[in-house]
Amino acid sequence: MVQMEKNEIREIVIDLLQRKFNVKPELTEEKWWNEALTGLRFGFTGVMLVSLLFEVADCFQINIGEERLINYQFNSINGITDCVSKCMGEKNRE
Amino acid sequence: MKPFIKLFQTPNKYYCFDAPTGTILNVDNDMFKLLRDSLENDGIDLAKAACELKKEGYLMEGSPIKHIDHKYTEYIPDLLQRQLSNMILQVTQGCNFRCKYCVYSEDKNNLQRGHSSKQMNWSVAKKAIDFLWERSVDSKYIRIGFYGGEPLLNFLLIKRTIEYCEERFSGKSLLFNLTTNGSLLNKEMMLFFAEHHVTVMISLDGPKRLNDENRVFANGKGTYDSVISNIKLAHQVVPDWSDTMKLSMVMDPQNDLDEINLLFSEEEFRNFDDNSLTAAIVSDAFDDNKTIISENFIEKSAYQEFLAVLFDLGHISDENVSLIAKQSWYSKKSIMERMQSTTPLFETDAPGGPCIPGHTRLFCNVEGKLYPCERVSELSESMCIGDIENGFYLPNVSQLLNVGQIRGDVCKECWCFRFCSICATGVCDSEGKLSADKKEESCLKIKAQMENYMYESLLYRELLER
Repeated sequence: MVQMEKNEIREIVIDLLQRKFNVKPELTEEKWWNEALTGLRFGFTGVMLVSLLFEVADCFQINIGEERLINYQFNSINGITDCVSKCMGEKNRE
Repeated sequence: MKPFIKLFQTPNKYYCFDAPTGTILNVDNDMFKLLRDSLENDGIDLAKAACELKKEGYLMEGSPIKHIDHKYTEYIPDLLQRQLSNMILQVTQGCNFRCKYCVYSEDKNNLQRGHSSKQMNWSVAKKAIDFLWERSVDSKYIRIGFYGGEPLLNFLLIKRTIEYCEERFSGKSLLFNLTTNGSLLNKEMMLFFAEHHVTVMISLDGPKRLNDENRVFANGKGTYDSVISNIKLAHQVVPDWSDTMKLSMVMDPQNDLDEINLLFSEEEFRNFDDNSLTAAIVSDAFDDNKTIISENFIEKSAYQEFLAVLFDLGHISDENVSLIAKQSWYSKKSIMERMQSTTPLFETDAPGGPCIPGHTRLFCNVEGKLYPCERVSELSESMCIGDIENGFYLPNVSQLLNVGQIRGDVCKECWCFRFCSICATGVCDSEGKLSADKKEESCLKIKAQMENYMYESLLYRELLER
C-alpha cells in the first residue's frame, strides 16, 4: 500500500464530507479541522458518523480498529486524518 | 397540485417517502431531481414523467385525509368501561427532597402544582382500586404504580393498597411498581416489596458530586450517600429483588457526560444493563427557563451514540459503550424501525402520538382526580379526565385523544402525519388550555425531529445492508 501524506488524506476526507454528507465548503476550511463533527456546527449524529466511518474505511481500504474509535478520536477532520494515517502505517508495516 | 411526498438523500441513495401509501421508494438520481422539481415548481406533469410510479398508485396529488378523527373515538366508552389495566396512584404530594430541577418546586410551578403535605388516604386509595376493578373486566393484566412526591412517605398506605389489590384482583396477573428517591427505603420495605414482587425505580443523577449538585434534601444537604447506603442494604438483605431495581436518571446537560457515566463504574451498578435504566435530560415542560444543552454535552452524546450503533452492528465491544448511550440508541432505533413499516393514510384519520387517555394509563391524584398520566399538569382543567366518585368526563377524554383536530387542516397536509408524536402535554398553554399556538410550536419541533429520524433510519438501513 502506498503511504500517503496527511495532507492528501485530509483532502480526501474533506471531499467525502462535501460530496456525500453535504458539508458546506466553508466548514472545511483549516480553522474547523479540529472542530467536533458531532457538535452543532457540523451536526453529525451517531448513525451519520458510522456511515462516514464506513465510507472512509472503503475509500482508503483500511480497517479502523476499536482502539482508534474510543476517546472521541474519530470526530474531527484532523482526528479522522490521524486515524487513517495510523491505520495505513500499520497496514504497510504488516 | 403537488405530490404528497417527502424526499431524502443519503450519501449513496435517493428516496421518496410517499405519504399517502406510507411507502419508502428508492429512486434514481434522475427521478429524484424530477420529484424535487415537482415540489418546487408548478406545471410538472408527473403522469407522463413518472408514469410507472403513478401506475403503481404512488405520487398522489394532495392529501387523502378529509377529516381528523381518531379511530378509537367511538370505542372510548367501552374501553374505559371494561378495559382499564394501568393505574398510577399519587400517594402523596409531599417530598423530603428539593431537587433543583423538580417540576413541583415552588419557584417553577407556574404550570404545575407545587410540593404540598397532602397525602392520599385509605378511603381514596380503596375507591381508586375499586374504580379500576369495576372497569377492568376484560383485562388480564393489571399494573398498579405508586408515585408522589416521594411515595415512601406514605408506605403504610402503599402496603395496605397492595394487599387489597391482591385480594381484589385475584385471578388476574398483577404487577406493582414504585418510583422513589430511595432515601427512605428501609429493611421492612425491602422485604415487603420483595415478597410482593414490587419493581422499584430509584432516581439518581450520576456520581456523588453531580447527583448532589441538584438532588438535595430540604435542608440543602446532598442525598447521594443516603440513597447509596440503602441500595447497598438492598443488595445484602434481598439480593434477588435488588437485581430487579431500576434506575431513573435526570441528566443536567451542562454537566460532562463522561462524568455522569462514572456512576456505572460504582460497585452497586455493575450489574445494571440498558433495560434497567431510564435516562433523560432535565425537563423544561413546566419551566419558563428553558434547558440549555452545552456544546460539549451535544458532542459527547452524539459520539457515544456512534459507539452504541457500532456496538449494535457488532463492530465494537460492550466495554467501550456507555449504558446511557445504549439505552438512548435502542429507544431511538425502535422509533426508526416503526418508520420503516407504516400504514396508508385514510380519508378519516388522526396523527400518531396521543395515547388513549385513561386506557393507556390512568393517573389518580391524592384527591381522586383522574389524569391521562403523571406528566400532565394537575392544574389544567383540560387535562382532568374524571374523578373516582363521578367517573370519566368523556368529552375531555375525546378532546385529548383528538388533539390532532387543533390546526387539523395543517395536519392533513403534513408528510409526517403518521409519525407524529404530539401529546396533549405539548399543546397546553400557560393557562392549562389546549392551544393552537402551542401546538404549532410543538409541531415544528416534532417535524424537524422526525425528518432527522427518517433520514437516519434510511442511513441505518443502508448500514445493515453493507
